[in-house]
Amino acid sequence: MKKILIHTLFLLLLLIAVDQRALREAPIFASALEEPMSTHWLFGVHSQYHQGPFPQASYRLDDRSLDEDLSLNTDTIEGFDGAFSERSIFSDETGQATWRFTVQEAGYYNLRIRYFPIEGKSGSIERSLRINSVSPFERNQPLIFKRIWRNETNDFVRDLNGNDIVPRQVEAPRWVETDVYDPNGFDANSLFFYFEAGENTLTLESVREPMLIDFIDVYQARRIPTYQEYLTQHAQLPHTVQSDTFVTVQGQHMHEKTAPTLYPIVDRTSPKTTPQHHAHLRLNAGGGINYRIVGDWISYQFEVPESGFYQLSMVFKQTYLRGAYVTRSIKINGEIPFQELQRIEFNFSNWDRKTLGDAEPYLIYLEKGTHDLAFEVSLGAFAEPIQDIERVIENLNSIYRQIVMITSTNPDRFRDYLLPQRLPHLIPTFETQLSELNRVMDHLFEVTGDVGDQTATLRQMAIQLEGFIDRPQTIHQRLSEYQNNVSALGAWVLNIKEQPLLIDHITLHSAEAPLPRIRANVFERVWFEIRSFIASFYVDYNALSTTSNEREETITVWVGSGRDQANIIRRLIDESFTPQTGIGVNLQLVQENVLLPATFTNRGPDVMMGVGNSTPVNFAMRNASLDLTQFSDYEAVLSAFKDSAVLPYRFEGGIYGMPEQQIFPVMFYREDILKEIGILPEDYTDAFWDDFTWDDVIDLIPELQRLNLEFFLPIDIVEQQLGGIIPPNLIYVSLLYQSGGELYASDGSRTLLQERQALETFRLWSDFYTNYRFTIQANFVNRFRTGEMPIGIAYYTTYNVLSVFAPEIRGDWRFTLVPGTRQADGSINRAVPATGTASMILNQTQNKEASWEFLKWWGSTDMQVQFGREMEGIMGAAARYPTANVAALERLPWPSRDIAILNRQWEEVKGIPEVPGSYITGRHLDNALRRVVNTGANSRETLYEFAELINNEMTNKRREFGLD
Amino acid sequence: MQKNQPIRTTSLEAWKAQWKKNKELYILMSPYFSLFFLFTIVPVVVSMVLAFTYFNILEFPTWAGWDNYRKLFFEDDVFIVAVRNTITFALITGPIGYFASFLFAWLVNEFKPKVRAVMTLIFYAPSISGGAFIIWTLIFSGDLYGYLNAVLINLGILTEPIQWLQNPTYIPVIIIIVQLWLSLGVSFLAFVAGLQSVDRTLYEAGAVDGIRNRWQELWFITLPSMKPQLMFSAVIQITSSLAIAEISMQIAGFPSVENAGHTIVTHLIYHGSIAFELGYASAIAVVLFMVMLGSNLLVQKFLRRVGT
Repeated sequence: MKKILIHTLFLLLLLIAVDQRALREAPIFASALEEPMSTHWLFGVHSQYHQGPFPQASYRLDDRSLDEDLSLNTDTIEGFDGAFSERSIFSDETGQATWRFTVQEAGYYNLRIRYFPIEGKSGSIERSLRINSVSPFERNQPLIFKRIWRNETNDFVRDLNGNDIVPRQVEAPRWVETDVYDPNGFDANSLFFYFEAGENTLTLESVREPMLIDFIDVYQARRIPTYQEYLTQHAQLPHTVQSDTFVTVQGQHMHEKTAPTLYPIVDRTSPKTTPQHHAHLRLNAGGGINYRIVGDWISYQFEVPESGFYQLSMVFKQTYLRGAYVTRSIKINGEIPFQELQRIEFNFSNWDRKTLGDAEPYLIYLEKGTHDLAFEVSLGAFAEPIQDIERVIENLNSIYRQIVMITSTNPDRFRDYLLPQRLPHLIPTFETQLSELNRVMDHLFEVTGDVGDQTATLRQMAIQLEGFIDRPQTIHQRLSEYQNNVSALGAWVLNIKEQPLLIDHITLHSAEAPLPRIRANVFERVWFEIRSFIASFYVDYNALSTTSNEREETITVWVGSGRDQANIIRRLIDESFTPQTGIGVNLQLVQENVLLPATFTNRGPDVMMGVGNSTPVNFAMRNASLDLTQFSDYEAVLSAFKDSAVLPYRFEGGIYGMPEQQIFPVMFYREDILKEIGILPEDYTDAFWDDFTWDDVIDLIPELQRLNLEFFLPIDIVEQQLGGIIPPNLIYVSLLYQSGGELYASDGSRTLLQERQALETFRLWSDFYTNYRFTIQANFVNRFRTGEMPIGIAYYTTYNVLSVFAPEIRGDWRFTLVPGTRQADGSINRAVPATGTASMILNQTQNKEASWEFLKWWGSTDMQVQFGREMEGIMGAAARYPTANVAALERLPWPSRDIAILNRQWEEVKGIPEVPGSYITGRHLDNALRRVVNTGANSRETLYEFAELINNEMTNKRREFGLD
Repeated sequence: MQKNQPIRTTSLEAWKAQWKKNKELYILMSPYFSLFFLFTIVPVVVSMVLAFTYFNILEFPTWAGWDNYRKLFFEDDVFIVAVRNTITFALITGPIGYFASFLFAWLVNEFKPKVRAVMTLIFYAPSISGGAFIIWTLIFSGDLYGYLNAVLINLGILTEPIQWLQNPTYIPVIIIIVQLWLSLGVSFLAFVAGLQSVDRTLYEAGAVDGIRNRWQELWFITLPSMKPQLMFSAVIQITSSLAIAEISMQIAGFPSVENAGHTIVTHLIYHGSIAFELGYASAIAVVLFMVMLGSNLLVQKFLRRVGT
């Protein structure tokens, strides 16, 4: 009995001791415990700004007020067509322009800029604004100046199959005059900026793309009248137009637009969309899913037959945002006539007509003549809730990181981490965020009149926060749900920020004009569907047809990528290749795995595009692909690419493919987190990373792990490699190359993985997983977003994914060179391998010369740039094309700072050669690592053993091809 | 000439008579038979021939004699691993799957028709849902956030994630689990149908003849009267358990870590699609064909003894 009592007492004492130890551990991150992030987006707009003053003066900044000393890479151009100033200011894609001017009276002013989107890389123009050297925006967010695009023609051309061809999207630059608005679209009105009395400077620093600036006005913007005021203003004007007047413009016939992605599209969801055809594709609507980004607009031109008051009706489809509406603000000839037109809301509906003003239609006065109606995507009533929730997310994410630094992402359930004590602001933050969430939900309910779809996500987060506040001791057990909820909030913001709308046609009409019925009845719909169904038996949707069939020679080209890519290639061929060379191209969309059987049966193409790294040599070994060195100008053509890009296609002195894409790794890092935990100095520059080596990585590991953060090194996940070929791990190969090793002997007869260098490197690499406990499998993009893995190595195309799908961390992350290895002479070697795709000519082709012409054309800088831009045009920045053509990559819309890093890393890329049997290398390398990690086997012996297997396979293959 | 003539005439005439007599049957049979011939018999024969050649798909095959078989049996270490894995998988999943199918069918058969229909659907669902077994890769994902890892870590059993699908210790076990989960397939349905078709009067007769319990009833009446279904299911079960490939490839990756999930069929696919050695792959196919044929004969022998 006594014994038990003593034991219990002892246990109790122990527990208390543990508890107190935990308490003493308490505040370990003084720096991380500060107030959660500052909460305003624009501190140029002071919270009391509506009190003024708003001086009526206005100042024009042009070339005369330009401060030459504070400007970089700026130039003036005299007498540019259409400019008001004598000399316009040219601001290049890097550098800055600064104006110096004297303000008489301190106060809030609007800014207006007149710019010309001069030819650049077709990306949006970005400039960060500084007033007296200080950015008025949080995170120094850049202003975006739109480029102007048009359909090349509104008379759509049909191909031989009778389908409409999407017209090329061309830039149609002109002088654009615009106020400075919130780049996030949270404020629909022209922004106010505070200027002191006396001398002020205003700086535009280039982030992307060049532009011409005519002038900048510091002035008071016109106040937009209300509808009532508008009516009184126009009261004396003649009221009526003839009762049956109406002017219709089709949605696909845009006049201008701000992005090439806003091309005319084909809608087949209703037989009433005009024009419509049951079998053929008709471009019959404008906008769609791409017409969703705040600030983008499409304009239409109307020929108004007589002066008078008109109503405006739109036939639209909005099936994207359920339980909410999308908003457009409407400008007529560049101005918003009255406030109500800033917020035109389109409810969820599958084709409907909306007359602006609904029950009491707005009357808009238009003179006889041509008018320009622009429909701009805006956030409308959602601006405020989005802004609030973004702030909530930011705060909750910051709290999450602070919690994880104490508990790790993988907390011990049974331990009480005493979070409220160690993070004193934890519970108060949760409370404020909870009340914020509740407020937003109430607000949303008011706005949409609907609880449900839109508020469910918020409610879920709120419920969890309530739970956290009630029982803080369970927080660490519920971290993964917490994180899920926060990312769900992020997704919600993303979702509601996007405001897609599809327009069939727009009509200006008199009050009594008879408008056609736009909703199809059941019979019409059924009849339409039946006819399309029948048509599907005789219309071939796979052949991408051309517009004409006069040509001497025709080659067959297969493309293994997606339909969008194929469509662009088809158009480029029709526009440039066939007219230039007289060679016709029969382009077909065929998956790569069909190539093999097709080639055997002699039904293969002349050219196959987009094949993987290993295919050209694999085919070459079996005499199925054509050696490009037989063409006299091959050297000149291939000089457009790095040697490292061509290397995988070399075999026994020949070259069997032309590089298309080349993708290499870079190192991504979260600037905000690395600064927060003191790894990056506050004022670091890109040069900070210049000396970063693998030794530094190893030094970094304990610092990260102390805070339960991780460094990501990629391992190919075997399940995802259904093709069966695992490339040699890129980290291992980097380490190997950097230490002077090689994968294969120079004649390709055996692997060099048994050399001392290779075995040493393998130990270093496997140590990352055995000694340093790196995570073997993780979704890097997700963990990078949450900040659990604030630094890691990945292919540079991850940039596209991050910039599109992780908007909540925009501006918080960057990428840099991969860590290097210091050489004996003190220099740092940063060699990395690369992967990519190629085009190849099949050996069985009857049209060698024509096929080579095609390859030359396709690999040329101009075509690669054009293809890259059009891809990005249609699919957005997520589809930025990783071209292998060096000059072409420069001309794709990368920010100048990023392209510099890419080029530096690219310099050091060293390809992986393809040799007979090399498909086995990556696999056995992976096997070796797994065995070491799983069983703790000796790394040296393991790799040696697997290298033996690689050698066997290679010997077998060489024997098979009679190479020895 | 004179001697031969009558024989030929008779055989031809016999055939003609046959044709005349059963014309309709031949005609009705012809579509299936021609398809069967074209798409089953021809490929089998072709691959038997190809097994004696070197064929890389892109060039015309060249004769190689017994070379492929020599390589297969005496040089290819991976093939031995594949055979070992295949036999392990087949020996475990084959019989268990077979008996489980029968057991569940027997159980389901005891329910009322409506309940039975629902239960049948539930048991059959995994195998009609095609690639649904892919969810197992989520469950066994090596990520910290993979389902099983997350649960085990939450329960405090693990402290860090296990690479389930990249560890040769776990790979075979997981493949077997998934295969068993899928095993209530066609054979289960056949059993359900078979149990339905047993003549009820036989049970009464049996009772009169002195059947004492359910086991005897099962052994002496139920099983013998559903021999065709037993046979059918056995064939299906053998082929499916010897031909495990898709599951291994989807779950453990292709090729799997240290060949832990490598079976004869994945070996075949590997040589056919990655190494471009179609002749060699054909040899593997022929071997597999023989193995299947052999085990079928064996099982048939056994099934003949049911009810005796």
